[in-house]
Amino acid sequence: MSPWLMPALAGGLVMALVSAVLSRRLRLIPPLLLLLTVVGISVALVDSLATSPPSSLLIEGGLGKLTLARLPLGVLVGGWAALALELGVAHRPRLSGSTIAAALVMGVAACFALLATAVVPLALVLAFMCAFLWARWQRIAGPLLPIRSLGRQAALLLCALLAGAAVLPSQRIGAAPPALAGMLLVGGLGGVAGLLPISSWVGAVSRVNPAEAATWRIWLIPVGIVASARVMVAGPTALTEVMQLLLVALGLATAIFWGCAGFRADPSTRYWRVLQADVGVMCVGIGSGDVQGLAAALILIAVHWLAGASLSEPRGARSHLVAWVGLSGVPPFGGFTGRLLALVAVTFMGPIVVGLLLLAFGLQLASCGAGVREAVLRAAVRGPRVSELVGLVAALGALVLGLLAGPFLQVAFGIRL
Amino acid sequence: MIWAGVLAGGGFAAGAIALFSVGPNGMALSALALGLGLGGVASLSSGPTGFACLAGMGAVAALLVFLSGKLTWLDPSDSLLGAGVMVDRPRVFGIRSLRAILGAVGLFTARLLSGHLAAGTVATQGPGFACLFVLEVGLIRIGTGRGPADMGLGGLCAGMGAAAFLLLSAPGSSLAVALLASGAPALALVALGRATPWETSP
Repeated sequence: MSPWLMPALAGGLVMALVSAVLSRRLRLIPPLLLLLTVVGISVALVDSLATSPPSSLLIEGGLGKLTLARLPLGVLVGGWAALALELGVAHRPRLSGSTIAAALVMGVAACFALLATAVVPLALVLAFMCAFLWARWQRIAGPLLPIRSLGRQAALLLCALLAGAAVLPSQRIGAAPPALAGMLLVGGLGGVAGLLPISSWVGAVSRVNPAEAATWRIWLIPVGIVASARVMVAGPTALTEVMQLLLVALGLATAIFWGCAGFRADPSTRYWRVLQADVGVMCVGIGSGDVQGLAAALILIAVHWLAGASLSEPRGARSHLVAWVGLSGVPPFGGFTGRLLALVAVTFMGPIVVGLLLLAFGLQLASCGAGVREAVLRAAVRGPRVSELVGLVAALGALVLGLLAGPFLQVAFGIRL
Repeated sequence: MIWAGVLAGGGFAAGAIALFSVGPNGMALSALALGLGLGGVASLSSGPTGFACLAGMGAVAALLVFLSGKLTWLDPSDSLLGAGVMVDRPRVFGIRSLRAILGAVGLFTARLLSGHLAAGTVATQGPGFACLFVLEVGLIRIGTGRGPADMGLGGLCAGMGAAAFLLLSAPGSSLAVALLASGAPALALVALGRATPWETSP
């Protein structure tokens, strides 16, 4: 058993007692302490799973093994930190215990998705995560059309990934066209991230409160991006080439489409469209197959962890202003650095790809400019002091990330540029 | 080779049943048919073990969906998804006509693709064709679905089709994968088989 587990459990017990005592006065403390406990236990479990010798039963059964590399570990720790931030800024009356519990369930599922190396277990965990949010959001908002579409998204990505997993062994022996396997895998993994044409989650998130919707941003998008990168690295060359082409094409289409939609969106839904457009840029980065493209995706993920938390804070004006600037693509802040790295990574693909990516950047700049304008107009609005302060710190983090991209990538994900 | 044709025919029949079935009993019948039909296809490479794996999974799922009508605690759909709302809306094609048209297109596509896929040592023009057709039936059920049960059945079609194809192509090493790929969607079908539809049935 991992040496981490006993301290984590003991710490959890103490925190539960402290939470019970403080819950009347400081309502922020119990969920944060509960979160810390779950983080400790999950880190202990992940550590023990990753360091124990691989199970022969799993390997012989074709279920792969559970390994935790530096990159998924960074994503996992970053996800938990983003969740803590989200709880820090969430609007109290709308933050229920079940929302926190759902975020924790998603975090544990994300642990398994990041540990799994075989496609079938990965497909089942990703489909579970998507279906879990569908079921939960349908209970909250009812069977509205966008929520129903989310159910279809969960089922479709399961179909695509299972079919891709079935075709892969034949692909390895050269008996299946790589185009088929590539389409199925990109369809499934792109469906998790929300690439066109399976972007149903963008419509669904506007039907639930921001703390609930943040679960998708914190867990599903990073897991989908990292899983795509891992499948691309592990796959045969022919498959990788097809995936590269599809990821770049669909990523560009997603970035441009949702960039236009973000420009025209109303203030309550603008951030989700900007996020989805950036998911397109992340996929272009991953599709480039270059380390700079991977770095671009990771920086954009981190920027959205920070700026998204800040924008979830419902009554902030200063924090919203700083967050929109960080996202906008204005040099030298986080959004700019991420998109610039993506641009550098795809330069070898020719002027058309670069031109389309620049168009997407322009649309993002315009969308974020509209966000800045809205924040300036609400300058007199003030939120609760603690949550606004947390939001402001997160937004400043999104700004500073652009200046410290190299050290950040090295420390958090073990990537040297 | 004749047996391969007969068993592949069973796979196609299962796909057709899953394409047109409606209602909770239709879900149960589809699960049973998919288990038996694709179990037969898988048995071409994996023998009785492959058949038992998929047929057993399909039979258990069918039994549980059927029993959930009598034993309400077996039906968690209300607690999972809340009360559903059924609405009616005009359609250009009836739902079964639409599925028949899409099924015909799917049959043609599966025929084209199966010529490019080899699954282990078995000639795949028949059995692989049946697996691909069932996978496409899953996509059609999801695309034209009018409720959570259709999502569950679409997932089961994908899981069973993928499991059967894996058992055909890598019979020795993929039993656990096949169990997992067919078992998890079967569980989802049991959970959603009696959920209130979003739209009315014809």
